[in-house]
Amino acid sequence: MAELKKIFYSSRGECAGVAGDAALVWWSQFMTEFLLIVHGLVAIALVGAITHQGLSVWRDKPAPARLFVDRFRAVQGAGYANAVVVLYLITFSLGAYIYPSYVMDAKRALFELGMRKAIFVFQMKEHIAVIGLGLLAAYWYFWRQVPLIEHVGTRRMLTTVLMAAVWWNLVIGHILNNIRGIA
Amino acid sequence: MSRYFSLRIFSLMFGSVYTLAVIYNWPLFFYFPAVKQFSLHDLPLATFGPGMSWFGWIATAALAAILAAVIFPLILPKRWIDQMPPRIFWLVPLAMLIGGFFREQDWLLK
Repeated sequence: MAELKKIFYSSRGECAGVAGDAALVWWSQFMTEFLLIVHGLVAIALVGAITHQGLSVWRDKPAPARLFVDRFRAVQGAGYANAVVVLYLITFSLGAYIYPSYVMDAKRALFELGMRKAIFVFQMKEHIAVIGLGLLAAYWYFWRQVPLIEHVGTRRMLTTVLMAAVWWNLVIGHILNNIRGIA
Repeated sequence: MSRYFSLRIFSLMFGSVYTLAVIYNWPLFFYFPAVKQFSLHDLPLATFGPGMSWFGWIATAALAAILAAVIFPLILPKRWIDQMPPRIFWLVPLAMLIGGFFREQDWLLK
């Protein structure tokens, strides 16, 4: 049990343990925090792109954009598809890279505090992130390989699901980081 | 692209296999963050710390989806793939959500 505890604490640098010397632990912790911030920033760019596209895809016909919301969604949705795919892959990869730090650090703390619902919400966040990852291929296909006048409903559905997944993960990730972050 | 690799089949298979992998716990491998090691088998908690299946589930789904996306266009008539009902894409995220809930429900119920 003592050995296990030593292994757990190694991720926070409270004990060097099996993770290596203090400098390595410090560097690892610094990089995790840095990548967490980059992950959040790229996620915000992704939310902007997918929200523009997600609202534009529900626009029935071009009309003069007088209100802010109309101007917000008066964009060429297809032009966002490549950016959304790239930003999603970057956000997902960064999140996946720092995920083990969350497991060793924040999740353990939440478990000890008895915050099982918070753990449940984060666990669902990881599954929802994979939902978006899986849909990306079909999403790109229907935006970039199919004429825009065809499969409008499918394009709306895929974009809306992806937008919902991105928003959910950004909000939940932010809330959970406020409860118990890895920084 | 679509002749050699079907993006729609990739998405469908990825979602379907991920759901099954999560429900039946079929990770291609485990990752042990405490010791930063990958393993094809679950290892003792006392020695290696908690194992993570998430990367393994994604790998299982990705492998099956890539194989299906390459093989199905070769063996199935093109019109079958072209006539795939787009509504089926509603089912994939729903199934994945249910699968995820099934796996994680213990955090709520216990």
